Amino acid sequence: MAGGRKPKVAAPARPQNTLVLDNGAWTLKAGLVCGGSIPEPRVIPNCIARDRSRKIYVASELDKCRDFSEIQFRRPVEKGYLVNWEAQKEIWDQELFGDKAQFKCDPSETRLMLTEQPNALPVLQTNCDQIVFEEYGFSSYYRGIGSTFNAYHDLQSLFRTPKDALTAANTPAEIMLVVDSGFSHTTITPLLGGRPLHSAIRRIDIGGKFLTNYMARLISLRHFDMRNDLYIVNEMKEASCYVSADFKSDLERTWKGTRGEKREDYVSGAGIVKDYVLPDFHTRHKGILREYDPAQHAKSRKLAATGHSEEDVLTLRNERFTVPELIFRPSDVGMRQPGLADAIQQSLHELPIGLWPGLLANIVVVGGSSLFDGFIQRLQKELVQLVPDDCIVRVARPADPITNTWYGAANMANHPNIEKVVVTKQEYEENGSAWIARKFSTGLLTP
Amino acid sequence: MNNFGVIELASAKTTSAPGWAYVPDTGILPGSSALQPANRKRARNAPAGVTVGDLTARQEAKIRKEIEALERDGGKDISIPIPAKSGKAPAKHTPNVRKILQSQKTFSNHLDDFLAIQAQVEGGPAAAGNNRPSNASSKRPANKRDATAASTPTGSAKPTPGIQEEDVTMADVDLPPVLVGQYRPPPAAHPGDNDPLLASRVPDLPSDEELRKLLAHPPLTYYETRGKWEDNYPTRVFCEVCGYWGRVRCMKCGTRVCALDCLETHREECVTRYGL
Ligand SMILES: [Zn+2]
Ligand SMILES: [Zn+2]
Repeated sequence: MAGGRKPKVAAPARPQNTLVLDNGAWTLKAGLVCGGSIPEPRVIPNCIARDRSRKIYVASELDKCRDFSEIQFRRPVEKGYLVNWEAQKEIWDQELFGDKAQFKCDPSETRLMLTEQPNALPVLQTNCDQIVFEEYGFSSYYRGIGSTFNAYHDLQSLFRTPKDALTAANTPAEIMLVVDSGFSHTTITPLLGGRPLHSAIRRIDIGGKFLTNYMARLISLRHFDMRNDLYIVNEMKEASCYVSADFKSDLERTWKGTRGEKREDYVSGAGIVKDYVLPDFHTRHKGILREYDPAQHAKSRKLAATGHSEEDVLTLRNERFTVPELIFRPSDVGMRQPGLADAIQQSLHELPIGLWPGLLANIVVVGGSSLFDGFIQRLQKELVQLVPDDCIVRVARPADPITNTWYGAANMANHPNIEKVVVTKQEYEENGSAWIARKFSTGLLTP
Repeated sequence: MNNFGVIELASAKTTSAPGWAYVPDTGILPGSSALQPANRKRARNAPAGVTVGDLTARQEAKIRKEIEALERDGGKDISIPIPAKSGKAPAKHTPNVRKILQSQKTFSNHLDDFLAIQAQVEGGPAAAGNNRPSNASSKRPANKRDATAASTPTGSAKPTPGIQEEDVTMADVDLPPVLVGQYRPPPAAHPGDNDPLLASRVPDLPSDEELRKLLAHPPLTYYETRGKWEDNYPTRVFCEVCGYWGRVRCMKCGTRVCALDCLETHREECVTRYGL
C-alpha cells in the first residue's frame, strides 16, 4: 500500500493495520489487515454458553464442549444489534486482545472497521462508539452497515460476466442489492457505489434463530420435546433443510394420506424424506443425515422393543422444506410480514424505476441462512414473476456468504481514501459521540 | 384433491361426538384474518360468535404467543454469568463505559425508550402511534423526512459512508456522476433495433440530482424499515398436526387439520385442553 514507508512520528499517523470485525449475533468474524495484506478471518461463536453440568464456555472455548445437550447461550447481540456490552467485552477481550487472540493488535495503533445492522437505535450506536474510543482507545474507527461492504468485491466475476477493466476489488460496485439473511433477521439493502439507499432498506423478522425455533416446535409436536436442545436442532436444520422449488408438489409428496391409505410417495419417502441420527455425545458427537430407509426403520423398531436400539433416529419429512419456507412466506406461521421477494419489491417501490434494472440484475445474497439449497433459485423465480418483464433478474450467492461481508470490509480498508470516512480518536475527543453518529449516518465529512 | 374434505366428512364417525363438528374449508381465507392479530385490541374485540373462516380471539392470542416464542433466543429465560477472573486487578473505566457495561437492558427495553423519546419529539402519542409495529398500513418513510433531507444545505447532501474513487470533499459543482453506467453494458446491435414495435421500454436512469437526494436520505427507524403486510398477499393454512394443508377445522377450537388421522390426534389434545 502507498505510504508504507512513512515514518511513525506524526501524532495521528495513518494506522498501518486495520482490525476488521463483522460482529454478528451467531458468530463474529475477525481478522487484522496488515499493510494491505488480507488474512483469512477467524469465525468465532459470539456467545457465552453453559452446558448441562453448568460449565461455562466463552466464545471459541465452545470447541472444548463435549456434550451439547441442553446447552444454553447468552449472546451480546440481540435482534442483530450489539446490546449487551458486559458479555461482548468479555468475548472481545479474550478473542481479540487476550490469550486466545491469533494476531497482535494494539488498538492505539490500529484502525477498527466494525459492521452493524441497518436501522440501529441511536443509543446503541453511541454506546458502541464510546466503548471503541473510551475503553479500547482505537486510533480510528469506521462503523458501517454490514451489507454495504459487500460492494467491495468483484461483482462481475460473481455473476460470471466479462470482467470490466475498471473493476478492481476495492472499488465499490456501482449498483447492487444486498440481501443479508442472518441469525436475527433478513435485510434488503440497495446500494449505489457502496452507499446505502436508506429510504429503501427493508427487513423481515425471520432469520436463523426463528427457523431453528420453528423446527424445534415442529419436532416437539410430532416426535419429542427438543425445545431445550436448540443447538442440536440448529445443526439438524443446517444439515437437512432446503428451500423448495415447488412447495405444493413437495407438500403433496410428503403427505401420509387419509386413514389407512398407503401413499406410494409416503412409503418410499419420494426422495424428500431423510433420517437424522441424533448425536448421543458418547459414540456420536455430531448428528448424521442419511437416506430414508423404510426397511431399516422396521428393524430399529424391533431393536427398540427389545431395548437394544443404538441410535435415536428422527425421520424428517415436510420439516425439511416448510422451515426455510418462512423466509419466503412468514405468513405461514401467522406473521404479518411480506416474504422475501415481496419485501424486495417494496424496497424497489421506494426508488425511481430507472434504478430497478441495475438493482435486479445485481442481487447478492449473504448470511448463514442463505446457505439453504435452493435459496437463490427460489428467490430468482419469485422475483421474475413480480417485476416488469424487461428486467433481467440475477441472484448470486458468493462462495462463502458468511465471510463475504468481512472480506468486503477488508477490501474497503485497503482503499486509498479510507481515511476520509473514518473518525479518529482525536476527532472523537474534540467533537463527541453525537458528532460521530451524524458523520456515520449521513456521511457528513465536516462538522 | 379438491373434494378431499367432502370425502372425509362423508365417512366421519367423529362428527357424532357432542360439541364436535368438522367443516371442510376449501375457500380462500380473507387475507389477514388468518394472521397474527394486528394488536391486542383487535384480538379482544373479535366477535364472540365466529363465522366459518374467522378466527376466534383465542386463536389469535395463540398465534401471537407462538410467534413471540419463536422470536425468543433460547428455550427459557437464561442468565449466564460472566466467568470470574482470578488475579486480575479491577479495571478502570470512564463513567460512560462503566454505565454501558453495567446496563442489563434488553433490545426491547432500548426500543421502548426510543419510541418514548420519539413520541415526545414528534409531539404526542398520535405521532408515536405511527411507528408502532402493529400499524400494518403505516406511513411510508414520512414526507417530513424528505423535507429534512431536501432542506439540508446542498453541501451536506454529499456522500456518505461508501468511498468514491474521486475526492469526496470536492465542491458540489464538481461532483462526479453518481453512476457512469458501466454496470449495464449496451446490448449487441441487432437488425431489429430500429423497429418501432421493439422500442426499448427500459426506463431512463434518474438524474444525478435525484440520486444524490436518495443517497442523502437519513436512515429510517427500526419499525419504519420493517416489511409491510398487504392484504392482497395470499395466505395458506396448514394442518397443525402434520403440516399438510389444513382443510378441515375443529369447531370446538378452530384448529385446522388435514384429515381423520390428524383430526383424532388433535381431538385428544383438544379434549385435554378445553374439555368435551
Ligand atoms: Zn395432518
Ligand atoms: Zn380442537
